[in-house]
Amino acid sequence: MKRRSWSATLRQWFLPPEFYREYRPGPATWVEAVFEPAVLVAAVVSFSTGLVQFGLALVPTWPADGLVPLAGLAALASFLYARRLARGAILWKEWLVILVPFLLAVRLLPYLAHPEALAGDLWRWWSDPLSFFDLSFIVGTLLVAGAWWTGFRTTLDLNSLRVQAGEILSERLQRDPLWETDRGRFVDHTTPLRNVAGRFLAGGVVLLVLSGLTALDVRQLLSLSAVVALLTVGRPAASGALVNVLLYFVLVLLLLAEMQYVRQRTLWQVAQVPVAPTVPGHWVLSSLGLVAVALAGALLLPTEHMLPLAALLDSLIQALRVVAFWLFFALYLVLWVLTLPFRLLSPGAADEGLAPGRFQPPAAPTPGSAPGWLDLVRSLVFWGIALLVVLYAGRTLLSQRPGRVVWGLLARAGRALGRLWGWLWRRAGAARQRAGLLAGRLLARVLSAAAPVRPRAGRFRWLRRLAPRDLVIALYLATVERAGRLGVARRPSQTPLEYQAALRQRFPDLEPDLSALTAAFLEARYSPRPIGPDEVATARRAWAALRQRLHRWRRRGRALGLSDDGGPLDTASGRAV
Amino acid sequence: MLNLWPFLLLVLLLAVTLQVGFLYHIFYLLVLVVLLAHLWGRYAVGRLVVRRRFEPRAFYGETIPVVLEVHNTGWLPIPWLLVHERLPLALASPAFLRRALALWPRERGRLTYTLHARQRGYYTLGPLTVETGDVLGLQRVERIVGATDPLIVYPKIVPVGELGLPSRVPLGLLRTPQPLYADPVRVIGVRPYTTGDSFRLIHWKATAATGALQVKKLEPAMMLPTVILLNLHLPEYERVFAHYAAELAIVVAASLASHLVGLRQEVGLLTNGLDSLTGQPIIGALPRKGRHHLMLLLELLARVVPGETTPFPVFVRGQMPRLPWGATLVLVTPGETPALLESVLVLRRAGFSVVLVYVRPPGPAVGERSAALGLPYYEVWREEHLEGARPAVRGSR
Repeated sequence: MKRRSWSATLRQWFLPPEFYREYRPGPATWVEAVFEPAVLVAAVVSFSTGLVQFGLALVPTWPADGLVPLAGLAALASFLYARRLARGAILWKEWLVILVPFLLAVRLLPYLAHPEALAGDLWRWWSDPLSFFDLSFIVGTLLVAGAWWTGFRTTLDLNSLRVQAGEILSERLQRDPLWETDRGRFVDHTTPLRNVAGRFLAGGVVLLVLSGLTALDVRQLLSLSAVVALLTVGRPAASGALVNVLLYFVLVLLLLAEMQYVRQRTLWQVAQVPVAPTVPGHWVLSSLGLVAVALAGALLLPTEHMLPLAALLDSLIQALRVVAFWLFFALYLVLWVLTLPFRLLSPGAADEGLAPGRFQPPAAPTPGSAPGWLDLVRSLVFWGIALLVVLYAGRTLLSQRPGRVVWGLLARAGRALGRLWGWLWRRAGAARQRAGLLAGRLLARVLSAAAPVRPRAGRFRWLRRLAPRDLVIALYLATVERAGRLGVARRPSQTPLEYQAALRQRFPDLEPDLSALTAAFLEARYSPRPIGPDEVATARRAWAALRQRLHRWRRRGRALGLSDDGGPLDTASGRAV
Repeated sequence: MLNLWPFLLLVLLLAVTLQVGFLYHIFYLLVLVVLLAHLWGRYAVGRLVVRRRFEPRAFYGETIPVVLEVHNTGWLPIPWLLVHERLPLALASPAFLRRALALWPRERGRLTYTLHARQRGYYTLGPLTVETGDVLGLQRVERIVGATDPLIVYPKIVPVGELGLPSRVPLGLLRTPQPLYADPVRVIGVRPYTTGDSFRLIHWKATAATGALQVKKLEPAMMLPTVILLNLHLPEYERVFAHYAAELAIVVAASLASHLVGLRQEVGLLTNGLDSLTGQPIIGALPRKGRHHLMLLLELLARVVPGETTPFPVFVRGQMPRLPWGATLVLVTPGETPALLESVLVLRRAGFSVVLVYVRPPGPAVGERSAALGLPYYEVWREEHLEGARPAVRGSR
């Protein structure tokens, strides 16, 4: 068998799959092939560093040694694994095989510093396997699994940016203008870019929150020691948070710029647009320039001694008051001087009340209570930028989708509320049923306890109000209910005659009353003939007899330790188990 | 396109809430990235200057190289620029040019392409549409840059044989069977002086050589101010081959004009066709000499298109007052009609010499009535018919 050369191996592992005949990997292709995994791994490492820093801030004794490099390694492994996939299939068996060594490393790496504890822990795991999965291991596993998943999905998205199979048509098909028109509609390659942007920007938000929480009591310094602390493996120091977060965002921006170039190049390839060979170089330098200029500006703009918005507005209002006073005073002074000759010529004119000296400017703020002018300027810069961002974002959103912004938000809120309500309703359904039953029983017991006499008279009084047809039906249904409590409930699909047969089988001594009552019910329910007193008396007699026999059956069952439905009975409480 | 605004607002909220230093840095970083990205594309497009360099006139069958120069006059580089140039469908396939390029500040990019003059007409190159954006895909700008440039492709010119067009105007350059007039510029020899010869005709050199007075012998010639009347009233053409016949008529007119100008004759052109630029009737130009005038006529023939305009007989009679006295009128038309022949007879009675050129498939009925009236006519149906064409009938003078 011919041995594969190194270049072929590297090509297979690193180069993305491209599906067009003229594809020839060149220097630019290799640059992309090295840049993408490097940036991906670095971003994952940066994110993991932030997570580990936060974890150590919460639990300083957390054995997080080696987790960050392990996460980076997992990201690299997932990149190499996913790079060779022509399509994004998740093969769980392969994943398990690849991830198990990582998970073992997560569990065993802390023992590199404390090897003496390994033997004891091994025995403990043998005797209690569940002790293998402690919180530290679970968190580490999630971190490594998250790194793997991020690398896998991002690599698939990077592959999807390239020309896919069938996107560049043969010459024969290209001559068909209809095909060309239709094809242009769905060759876009925007989704992978948006996926990656959403994934890494969401990660950026998480990183910002965690790093912010970590650094709340630590002064952030962009210093050499912080950079060194960040670059060394092991426990990253919290003071490197600024470097870490900046690095993460710079890497994400560069990755997005590279992905945008790949996407644009793919669109040009599909549309068969000749591309000048200088475009890649321009793109790289422009990307670096953009990020560098933005980074320089970001580091130069003020970030400390920021006034809250309320304090800033108050200071501005005070300043405006002083300025307005002096302006009006100057205007008044000019008018006073201009009118002085007329007042001097008018004998007896009293202008003491109009002398400028009577006007007092507003009291100056006491030293120490007002913010310095430098803080004021810094705050003005920040809040000015923030206000512009809010206004421009609002204008952009409204201009793109003017009506849909509000209605879309409302609709989403409404749907979310609806889903929440449905979930609560379903959860409460079972509880509602139980509560209803409980309330019913409680009420029945209360009523039965409160009533001094047996409720038979009351019942007959109630039944006496019914019409003959309804009375017969009520007597039959009462018998069905009583029998249902004894474990022979009538199914909705059963006819009265089928139910009669089931009852007869369970309680043989119910006949012939059962047949009489069933016949009376059928006539009352379905016959148009009026029901007379004879039929009512027959039904009543049958019901009374059935009631007694069913009650006897119930007592017999309780004596045997059975509940009404035949199940075991808790003798202490008298309820079914 | 990516949308970072919601993320930006979220970072702002975090920065204001947590008030940690690096959160502000990140906020500034993202704001500056978004701001620069939004401004970059617009600034870059606003600083683009486009120019096309090419020969704006071409003859049929020629190749026209075009150089499109895109100049970035700004101070920012343009990382990518997609140019889309619209080309005339009749001159290029495909009818567009697309290129992706990148420009440094102050750099000029040059794109070349070739057009083939396969069809006469008045065309415009452009406009040029450019598309650019930032490297993150946050903003795309598309704009039309520069103006369109016109390109004229003259109609095809076919060599024309002798047509023997008569004329009643004195002086001229064509040989005529009637040696009534002599052209003083064309000397064909010398003869002895006879009483009555003008002294201006004495050939002094020959006189000195022979010792006796010799005078110049001048070639009899006549001038043919010719006016070509081209019929492009489409309903008068047979529907089946209207387009071909109309184009052939234009080729005939162009070839005749070129031939006559080559003979140093005055040529004019009047037509009832439409201007392809404006859609309005285009009249033409009265007879003049010279190559410059020929180019003017060819340009006119390049722009004219057939359409539903004035019927030819009406048009011809309407142009009578403008026609120079004694001009020879060459009527290029699809066929003879009673109205046309009547107009021709009116023209003859007015003193014009009329020659008819029928552009239609040959057939026994073609020219019957013209022949009966003694009107000279020619039949042209293929371009090669123009070469060595002989008059079917020589009409009376």
